[in-house]
Amino acid sequence: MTSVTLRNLQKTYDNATEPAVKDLNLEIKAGELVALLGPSGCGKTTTLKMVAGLHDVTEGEVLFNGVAVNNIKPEKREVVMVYQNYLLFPYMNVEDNIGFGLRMRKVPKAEIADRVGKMLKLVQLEGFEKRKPSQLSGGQKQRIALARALIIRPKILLLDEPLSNLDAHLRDEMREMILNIHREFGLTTIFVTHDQEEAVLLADRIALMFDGVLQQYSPPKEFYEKPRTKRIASFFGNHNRLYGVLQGTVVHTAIGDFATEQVGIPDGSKVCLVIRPQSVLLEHSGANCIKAVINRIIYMGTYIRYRITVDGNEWDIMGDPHPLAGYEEGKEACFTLPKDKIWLIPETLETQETPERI
Amino acid sequence: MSEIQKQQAPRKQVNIIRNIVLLGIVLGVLLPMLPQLIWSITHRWYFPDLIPSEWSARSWEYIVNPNTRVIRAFLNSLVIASAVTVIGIVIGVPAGKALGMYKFKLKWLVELIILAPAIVPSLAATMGIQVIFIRIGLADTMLGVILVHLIPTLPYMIVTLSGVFANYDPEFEEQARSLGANRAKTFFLITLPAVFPGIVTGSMFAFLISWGQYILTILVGGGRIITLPILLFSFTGSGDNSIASALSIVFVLPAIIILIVTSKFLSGKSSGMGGFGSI
Amino acid sequence: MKKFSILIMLAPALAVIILLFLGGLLLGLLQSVNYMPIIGLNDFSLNAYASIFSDSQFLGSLALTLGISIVTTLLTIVFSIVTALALRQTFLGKRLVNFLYQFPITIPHLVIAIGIMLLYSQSGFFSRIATNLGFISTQSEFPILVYDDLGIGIVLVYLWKQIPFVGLIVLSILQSSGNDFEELAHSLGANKWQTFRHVLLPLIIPGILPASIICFAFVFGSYEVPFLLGKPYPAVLSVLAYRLYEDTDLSARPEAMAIAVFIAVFVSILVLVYKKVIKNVSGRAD
Repeated sequence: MTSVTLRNLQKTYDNATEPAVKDLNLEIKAGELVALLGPSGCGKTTTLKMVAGLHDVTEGEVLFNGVAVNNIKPEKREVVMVYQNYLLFPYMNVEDNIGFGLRMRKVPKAEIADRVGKMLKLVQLEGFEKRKPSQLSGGQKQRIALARALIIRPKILLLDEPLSNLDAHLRDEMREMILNIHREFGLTTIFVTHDQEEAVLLADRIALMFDGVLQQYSPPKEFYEKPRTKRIASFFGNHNRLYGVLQGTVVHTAIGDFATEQVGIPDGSKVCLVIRPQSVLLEHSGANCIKAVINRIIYMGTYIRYRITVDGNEWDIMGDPHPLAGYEEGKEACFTLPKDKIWLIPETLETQETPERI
Repeated sequence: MSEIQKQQAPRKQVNIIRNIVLLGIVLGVLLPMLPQLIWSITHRWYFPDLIPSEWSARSWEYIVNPNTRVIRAFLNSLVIASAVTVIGIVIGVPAGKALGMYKFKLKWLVELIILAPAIVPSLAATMGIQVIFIRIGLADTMLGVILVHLIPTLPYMIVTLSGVFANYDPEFEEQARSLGANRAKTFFLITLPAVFPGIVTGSMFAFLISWGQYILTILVGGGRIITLPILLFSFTGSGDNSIASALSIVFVLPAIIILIVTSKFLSGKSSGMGGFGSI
Repeated sequence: MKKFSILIMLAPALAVIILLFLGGLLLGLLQSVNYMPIIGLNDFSLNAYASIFSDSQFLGSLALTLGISIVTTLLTIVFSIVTALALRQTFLGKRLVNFLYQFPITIPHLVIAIGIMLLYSQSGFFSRIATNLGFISTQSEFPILVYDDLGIGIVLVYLWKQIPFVGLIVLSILQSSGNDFEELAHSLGANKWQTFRHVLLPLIIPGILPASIICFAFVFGSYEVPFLLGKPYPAVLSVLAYRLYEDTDLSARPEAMAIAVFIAVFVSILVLVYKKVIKNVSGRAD
């Protein structure tokens, strides 16, 4: 069981002016499954390759169990990477692919054969020994790539977009397999992805990065309920926004006052109130209520989307798939914001926000 | 600090090896092209002098002198290589299209026949056909030389073009037609621009192969059709290094012009290069 | 209709190659067996073949030609990989070096043959440098690198032309596979050498084999460079064939034809064997 610590990690490529990764600090517990999430070019893959030792570190340290490994070559780190496009060596059959790492370590042939057999059993592809990569489906290739990585008993497993090349039904299957293997081996696992859904499906904790900077590091749920900035909120999907000033436990806005349960923000702060589309209730409960004209009603099959304009901001609200009396296009209706679902982002934290590019 | 040094030590070693290789490339490519530059303006250059003892423009005067055979040979070479290239395009475009875009019976055999002259040396075929050329009066003529030059050039032209056509999506043409372009417009606005790089690469191959041809020219031209390579051979054989050097500079000019003009088409991924994966 | 139009598209190219190339080969073959009534050869015989294969001059030429072709091809493969590996990295002046590297592809063999002669012959530039530095006192002490027994000058010219030709193919293979395979091998525990041996080499070799065969065939059959830079005896096969062809004694013609046909047949067999081997290797994989 190996913990990973990234301390003030920085990477600047040879011909680049801006660092690809800036002063990154991250603590990954032994046996944890962590996602590095972010849009392409955010530095997540660079970070992963620094952990693997495939990219040199410009500044800072990578520590395994508290010991710096900056100077350990990738082939000695016992960290293994599984690539998004699997990268099975095309001229080797399945057996030779899986046994590659052991052959590099000059493990006796009989032992290699034995361990390859066990691995094939683990990934449920017994009997595929002699197949060539070109004769495998995407899901099978993925499993062979995983077996090839696991056979060398790595301390840390690195996965590059593990689910994104797979169809919807294979995604579930692969997710199960990765979670099972992770549980069985207790392997510290880090994966990168640009797809927040993939991160949420797999990870214990997500480290979200924008432009080489770590934005938030927390369990998936908190990204939805407690995003630290508006940019994080938008990355995780639709959020409705309303601006105001916090006084005690009440946000004063241009269209009324809203009670909140959030603590820790100084009195008198300018805040952005955010709430998720599915948290807004289609009812008139008196307090925390918005009256607005419904611009548009869109039937989505499993739910209905209502579009309203609140203090100049476009809002989306998700309601039951059954039409409700009084909630009709062009008519004014009431929407309630439950005070435990309201999340406030202090405006001071927004200084570094740049337009989202996803 | 010591950690950083340790980490960079192997990298430095690799850089040294790499730089030696790069230096080798630069010197290796340039060195065999430099002596001609010096020799061409040399009158006397005795052994073991490092610098010629007497300079002169004699060989260049010889080359531009209309009374020598040089200008004639240059024009002959130009006419032959241009004719070979044009005929190559006319024959090669349809053949390249057929091989690149369609599947048909015995395609493997057609490919084998068309590729064969690129691999199997043409000496036997040219020596063999010469008796017929003599009979029908093609021996010692420009037309005869142009015809035999087609043998080694056509495969390169066709392979290059079939590679381009293989990557060409005919639905672009359909799209253009459905948007209102007529046949001619479709050809000039859609088809031609798409295959143009292939035609350029193929033409370059064809021109240069013909331009550099000696043995086929001398076999069929019988010494009557004088081209630059034939002059070059005779001056090299006679040991006149100055004129041989000046001639070889003239001889290499089209290659350099073509290289500079078309270098954007000739990258590592050029279809012309890639096509030979299929022999 | 469609079949017909494909035939029309292919007809001119096929006509030229079948008539001139295959026809020429057939006529060469007929002349080599002394049977071509149209020019008065009526007595079929294999004498020409019998005589060349018992001729020590031919066998010497064959050995020399084979040696030059094999050495050139092997060195081309080695240096194309070495240079491509160096060119793949980023360094100052990369564009310039890349441009230089492509230069030889278009430059005619003849020009470089003359350049190599002026550089490496006993009165050449390197011999002058060696004399001036005091390594040798007369030009005859300079090692014979051109017009030599081993064809070193000839090999140098071919290497100059062919290394970039094959090297560009290696580069494109390396580019299309990216760094990922190597990184993966490292992370699976392969060191630099193992990565090269087990990952890069198996990716490169199948890709450059066809080009290497073309190089071999070209060297085996070409005339110009060995004529300029080779010794008269033994000469390579093509030079020997042309010399016999030009002989005033017309009775040498069938032997000339026999040698030329031998070159063509040898290369054809080589390519067919190569294709067969490739087919078997990939066939075993399925």
